[in-house]
Amino acid sequence: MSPRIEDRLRDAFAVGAELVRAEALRPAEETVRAKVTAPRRGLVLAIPLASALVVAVIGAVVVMTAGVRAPAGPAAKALSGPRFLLAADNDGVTVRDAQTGKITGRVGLPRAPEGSLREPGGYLLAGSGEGTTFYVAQSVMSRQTQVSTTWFHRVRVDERGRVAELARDVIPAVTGTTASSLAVTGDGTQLAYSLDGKVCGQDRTLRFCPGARLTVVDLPAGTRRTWTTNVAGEIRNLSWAADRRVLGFVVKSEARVLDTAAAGTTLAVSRVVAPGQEATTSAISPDGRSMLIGRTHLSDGRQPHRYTIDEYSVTDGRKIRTLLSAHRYGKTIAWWNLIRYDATGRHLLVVGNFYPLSRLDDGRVTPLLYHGPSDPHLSDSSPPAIEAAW
Amino acid sequence: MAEVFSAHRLGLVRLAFLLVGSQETAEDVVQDAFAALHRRWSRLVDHDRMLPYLRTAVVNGCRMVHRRRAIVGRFVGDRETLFWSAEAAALLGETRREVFLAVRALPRRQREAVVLRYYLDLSEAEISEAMRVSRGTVKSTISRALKALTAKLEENR
Repeated sequence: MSPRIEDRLRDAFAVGAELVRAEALRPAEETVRAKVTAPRRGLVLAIPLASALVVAVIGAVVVMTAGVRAPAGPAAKALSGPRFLLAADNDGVTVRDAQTGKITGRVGLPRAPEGSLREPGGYLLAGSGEGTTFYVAQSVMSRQTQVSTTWFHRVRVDERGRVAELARDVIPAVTGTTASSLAVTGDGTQLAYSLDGKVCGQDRTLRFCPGARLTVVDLPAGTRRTWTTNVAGEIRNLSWAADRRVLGFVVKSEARVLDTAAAGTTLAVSRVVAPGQEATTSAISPDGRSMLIGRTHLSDGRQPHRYTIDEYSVTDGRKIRTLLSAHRYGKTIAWWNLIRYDATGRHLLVVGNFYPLSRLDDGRVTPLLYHGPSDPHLSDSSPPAIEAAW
Repeated sequence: MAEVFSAHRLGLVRLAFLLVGSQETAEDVVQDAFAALHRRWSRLVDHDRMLPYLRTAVVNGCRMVHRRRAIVGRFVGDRETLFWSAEAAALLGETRREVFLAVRALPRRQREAVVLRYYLDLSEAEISEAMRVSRGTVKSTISRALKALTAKLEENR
């Protein structure tokens, strides 16, 4: 074989490898500390002892590796933020590791009666943003009466991602129409849910009629307050600011904010955040200053079409930046189904109808869960829906 | 263990760097390899053979990086700037960059084999151990890789 090729390989590899300078490597301590999650159970006592011993004997480098849980994968960096999330699909509700998407526990909810379920499994989820306390609502519509019943449960997760507590029926079941969204404040005191308006027409003329409702329940006090809307459409993507006062949501393709402390009984008192921008989903930031809006861009006529998550100022509706942009080939339109901030506002969960459940940390996307075909561009039918919260 | 870490970390990061193209990812891969070694420390029969063990772990780790990138790339495209990319060309020079692009275009097994052979100067036996394939496979893999590289690089001239 040509010695020339071999020489070129040796030369290129030698020069390429030299790009990694010893002084440019991460400090060993920092490298390892960044990956520390939780010590293994059996090593709880061993770690401090072993660490002290090894520090004395061979230095800090090895000490920091002791008790490190197996990392998710070679390329996975330790991600801060909530350790667990709750996910629902048609098979039920599971607790998952928020770094890998692996199941750590299953939520054994009461068996729902027979009826029609909206995907996935009739479940809506909400979380405190810390990956520890979650609310689950499940709506089932009777096929005989066409009346929906929605039950509300609370789930607490322990430090190993197992279900530590399942409190059933934390508020009385709600009957009428189907629940369309759920959110809980970071301190777990205010639960917001929305119910569809009535459905009008039949078959091809089937549509939402005015009358969707938004309810906020003060859980410690047991009081509730309700807003109605004469807009024909679902209320979706409820999200709370950390002040426990401002709610974000989408109704009829408009991202809106509502001051729940202000007077009024209709959503006419709410305000559109980015007028003229069609929203498929939204999430208000914990500080209440900005809102993420999921949008699908079809009007620019580009193929593949783009769908983005953009950040807008709540104060003046100005677009601040595009946080995430994806594209899709094919006929079926792609959109974002869900955006969830964590309690700090630094980590996001996102899901699209063709986009896996993923987390977004400082611009880095980590796919966690996907039920669709291996190449989503090849399929025109949406994968089964996923609901998630942390 | 600390001595092994000090002695071999840089070399292993460079090996991973040549395979995955990003220093940050390479450091992650090597860190994982050392963490795995630490966990198995008590079960290792021959502590003198840690380097071959680490090399195998690094090669495996790089494979997982490529798999992960392939999956992520389907949804969000390439997000990392790899050292052989156009943006980083100034660091290498165009001629060497051509070599890296040609190596990158090789099938995974051929790519690993040429890096182990021409960067680390490993013998066929050592490469077969690191890649967990037979010596015969190493020989034929390198031969095919060189043939493909010759064709590719001569074509560019």
